[in-house]
Amino acid sequence: MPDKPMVNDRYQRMQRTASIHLKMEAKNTLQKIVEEFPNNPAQMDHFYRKARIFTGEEKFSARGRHVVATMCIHVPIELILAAGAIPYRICSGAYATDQIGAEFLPAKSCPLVKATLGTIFLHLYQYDIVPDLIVNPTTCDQKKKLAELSGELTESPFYTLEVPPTRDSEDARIYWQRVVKRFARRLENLTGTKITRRKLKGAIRQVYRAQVQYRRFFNLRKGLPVIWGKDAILVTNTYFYSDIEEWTNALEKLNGELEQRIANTDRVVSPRAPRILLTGSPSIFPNMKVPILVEQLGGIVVAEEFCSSSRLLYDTVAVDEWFLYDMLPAVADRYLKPCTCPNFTPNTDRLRKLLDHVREFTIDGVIYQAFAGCQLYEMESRLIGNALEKNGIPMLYVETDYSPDDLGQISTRIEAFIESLKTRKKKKD
Amino acid sequence: MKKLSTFVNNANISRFRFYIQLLSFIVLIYGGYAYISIGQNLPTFACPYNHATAGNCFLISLQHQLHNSWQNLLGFRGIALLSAIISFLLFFILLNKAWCGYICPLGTIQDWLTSLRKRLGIRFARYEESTFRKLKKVKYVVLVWLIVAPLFIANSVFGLPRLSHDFFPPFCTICPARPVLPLFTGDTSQYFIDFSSPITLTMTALGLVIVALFLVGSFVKKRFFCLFCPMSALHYLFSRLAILRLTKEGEKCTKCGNCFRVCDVNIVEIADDVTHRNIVQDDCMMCFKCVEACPEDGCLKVSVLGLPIFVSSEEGFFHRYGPLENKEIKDA
Amino acid sequence: MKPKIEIGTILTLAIFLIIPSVKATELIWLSNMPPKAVKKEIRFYGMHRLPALRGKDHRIHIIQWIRSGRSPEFSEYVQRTNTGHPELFVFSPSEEPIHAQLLHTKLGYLLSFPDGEEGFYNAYLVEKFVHRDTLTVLVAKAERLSHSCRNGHKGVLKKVPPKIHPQVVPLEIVRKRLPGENFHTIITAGDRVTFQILLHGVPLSGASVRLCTQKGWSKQLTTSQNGEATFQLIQDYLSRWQDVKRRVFYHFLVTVDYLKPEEGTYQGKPYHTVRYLGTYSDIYRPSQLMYSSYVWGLFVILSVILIASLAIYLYRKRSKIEFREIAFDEKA
Repeated sequence: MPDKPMVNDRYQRMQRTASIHLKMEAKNTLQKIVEEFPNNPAQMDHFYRKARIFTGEEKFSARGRHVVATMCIHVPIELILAAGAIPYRICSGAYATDQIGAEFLPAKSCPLVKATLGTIFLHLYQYDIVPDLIVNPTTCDQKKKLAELSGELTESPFYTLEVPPTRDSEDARIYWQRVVKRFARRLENLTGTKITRRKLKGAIRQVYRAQVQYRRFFNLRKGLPVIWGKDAILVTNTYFYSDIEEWTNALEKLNGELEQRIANTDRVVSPRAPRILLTGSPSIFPNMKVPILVEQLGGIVVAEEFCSSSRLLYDTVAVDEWFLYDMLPAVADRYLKPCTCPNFTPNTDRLRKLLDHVREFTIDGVIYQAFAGCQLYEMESRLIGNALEKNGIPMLYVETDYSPDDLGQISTRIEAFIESLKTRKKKKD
Repeated sequence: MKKLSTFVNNANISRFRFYIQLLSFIVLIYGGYAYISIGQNLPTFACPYNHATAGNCFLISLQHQLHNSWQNLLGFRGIALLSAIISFLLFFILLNKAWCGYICPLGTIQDWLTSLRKRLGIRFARYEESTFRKLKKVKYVVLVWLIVAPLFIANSVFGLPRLSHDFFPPFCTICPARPVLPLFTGDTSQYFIDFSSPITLTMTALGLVIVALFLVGSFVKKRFFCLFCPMSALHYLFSRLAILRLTKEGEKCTKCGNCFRVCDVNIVEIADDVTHRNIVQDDCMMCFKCVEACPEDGCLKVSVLGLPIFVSSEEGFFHRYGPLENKEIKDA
Repeated sequence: MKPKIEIGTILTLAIFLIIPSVKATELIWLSNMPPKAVKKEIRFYGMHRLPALRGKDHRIHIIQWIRSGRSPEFSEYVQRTNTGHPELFVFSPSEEPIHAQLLHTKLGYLLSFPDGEEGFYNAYLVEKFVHRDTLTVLVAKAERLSHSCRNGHKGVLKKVPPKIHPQVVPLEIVRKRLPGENFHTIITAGDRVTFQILLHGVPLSGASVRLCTQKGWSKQLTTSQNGEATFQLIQDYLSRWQDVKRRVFYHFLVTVDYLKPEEGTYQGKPYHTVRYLGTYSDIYRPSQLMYSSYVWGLFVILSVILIASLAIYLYRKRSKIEFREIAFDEKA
């Protein structure tokens, strides 16, 4: 481990305890996910194993390649792949690192930001690898400040990806394309590999392959409930740090199994179970509190509108002329135009997307998860709630964080919500 | 039936379009040699200055029909004009603006120049949106000119002196199709400057400047001339009557902008407009590249009389854009 | 080859000896050109600008002035023909005989016939009279093309070739069509025009044919074996580019004079010789080469292409918008 300004006894103690806590936390969550639910698909084993990275049971080697850590969903993965580096996303869902991060941030900060800061500070990345570059998109205010704060705490260089505050205007697009091109240059300098036509095209197609499987997975869930939502969330979570080819192949196998299940009408839950759409602040392993509760209490999560799932992989790149002059802006556009992250304004597209999901997935109710301190999601909940109400879709607003303290309180609320959905559904039938 | 629609939706329409364009180019440019005569009022640039043309551009007959005195226009010439417009419309409603994307020989030449540029690896130009919004109005100005000028040549309006006959035909003299299309039958006779009067001098010189700009412009900018084409403006006036339509279901759109990216004529609305069903804009040439690039099932739809014939689909998108088992992935 | 002295040749030579004796005969021809005094009152119809009157039946009537003389510019507008009662034959493009009239109006002495379908109208004015043992047969012919693009271009191929009417007119001057001639063809200075002389429908060799342009330039030829004589029309005035009147139609006049010994009586008068006199007039325009320049055209095109390409190149190099600031190596 390289030298750091704060390497001292206290730091090492913190690192040790946090690491132990993280492993325990991951183990507990994984146990819940794997053992407390019946009828998990056999092909999920790959993803469970991948999640064991947090418990230290799974190792990873970068094989001498550069590692680029990313946050949020605005970082063009294609460029990192084309430059020959390994991308992985370090947005954290661990309570263990959340507590560490809380030391440096105001009390009412978002747990995701706190946990990520804790991860960076203690080097508790999914893999035991210190990233060669941490890419920090300027999304919400807290993420913006994260880089400055962590600058003091880690020796990994930060790269600020300037995300425009709006995405509908021409100016924003052009600006963002320029940012992405500059980023491409930075990556070239980092890895010493030129981003060439062939490489970028290859990377785009590599991501296509993942997207084909993801979209297949996504569409499968529109019908019979053949997979638990907690598993689905885990699948997209592992994409954060998996080798993209490996992940794609595993998902392909899983999709095959799920299709078989549909053919055999092998449901994981009764069709009476209310179909839930989760949205808001992202559930990232090991913080699977809400989805697990929903499914333990008789609901089934059939769709998530999270930056850790559908927003991450759904939209595609289209290139007219397969040259860098068109591919780079095309890649840039794909990360800006369809993104429904609430850091953009206006963000009415998120509402449209939710309404579309409600229709497509025959949703009975929406659960809106907002992390305490995540201002943007908290603020948007009002608009979304009103619009859903207008469309006759009940919504439960859940404010939560990474600590297990509020488990009792939210479980009561979710239970009540699911019961009411069940009654509604019965009446409809 | 389902198999057929999947096959069509997965098809590479651009390749299909290339062959249709080639075929209609051959028919329109060389059809005269085979005594093909399609009509006098075609809604596309079938230029009669090319001696082997298989039909006539409606704009030239429109200019001739309008080159009449008022009393003639109110009389039987008016009826002739009306019947010309009706025959134009009958052709037009069949294909809507796909006349531009699939038939127009001048458009085809521009597409060929584009593929030449692509082959050379020179990047394309794109207008900034504000420039685009300004420039696209030019076509309406040209349309008004080609309608008003013949009337002013034939009549004295408000006691003003009549416009010189040297302007006639007011659009053809500046149309790039007049010098460019006859080239394909080996006729270079349109490349002259006429010194016989200041007006002919100006108009012929302007015409040649426009040809030069056409060649350079469409080399760097996809479908450069279409932005200024009065035929396109005329089409748009009647676009809603046509039976071939391009529609968009806004709810399904994620605004990913794929359609806008591949659009040769810079139409932003195709990506950003989620409220209107009929998405055809005045610059649209209905090449349906947007439908090809749309990965949402049923978001963009091409239909004839409400019957969908080509619909955007996820499967189709990946078929066209991402050959899944690709060697390049391993190479990269 | 054995030089063959034909009887026709000898007789042609004889014409010059006889001319003084028959000088009283007026060489009548049919002209498109109105007298200067009434020029403003005439309206011209169609692409070939036929002088026309609107008749009482509201139809367009094409009119031809009866003139006499050998040069189009200096021919007189006569008030009476040689006999005062010529025969008139007019045939429509579909070879139907049309009723024609001779009119004495304030516009002059006219032949008038109604216009109907598109195509060439053949008008003949035939006179026969005996004077000093010679029967003079005078045939003044006009082929007038009635065409307006507004009427369409149906059946051009069938309607363009010349038609003859030997059953009513003994002597026929036939203008052979130019290669690729259609309704839009106008003879221009510099064109080679071939005339065939037919006597009773049979090619007449050895007749003397004379062509006279508007300003009086003339050339005389003797018809070949198959009755043909080919003239190259010249530009009969010199001018600067800008002084060429490119839209003006000029006349040329073709006359044929042929003597044939033949015994007979006509209207009780005996004769020993028949003199066939034929006239034919048509229009032509100054050659485009007189007022237009391909070199300048080429220069304009090339320089604009060069300047525009350079401008784009520099703009791309210097400009800082969108694609400009970072250039990637495409070939790597």
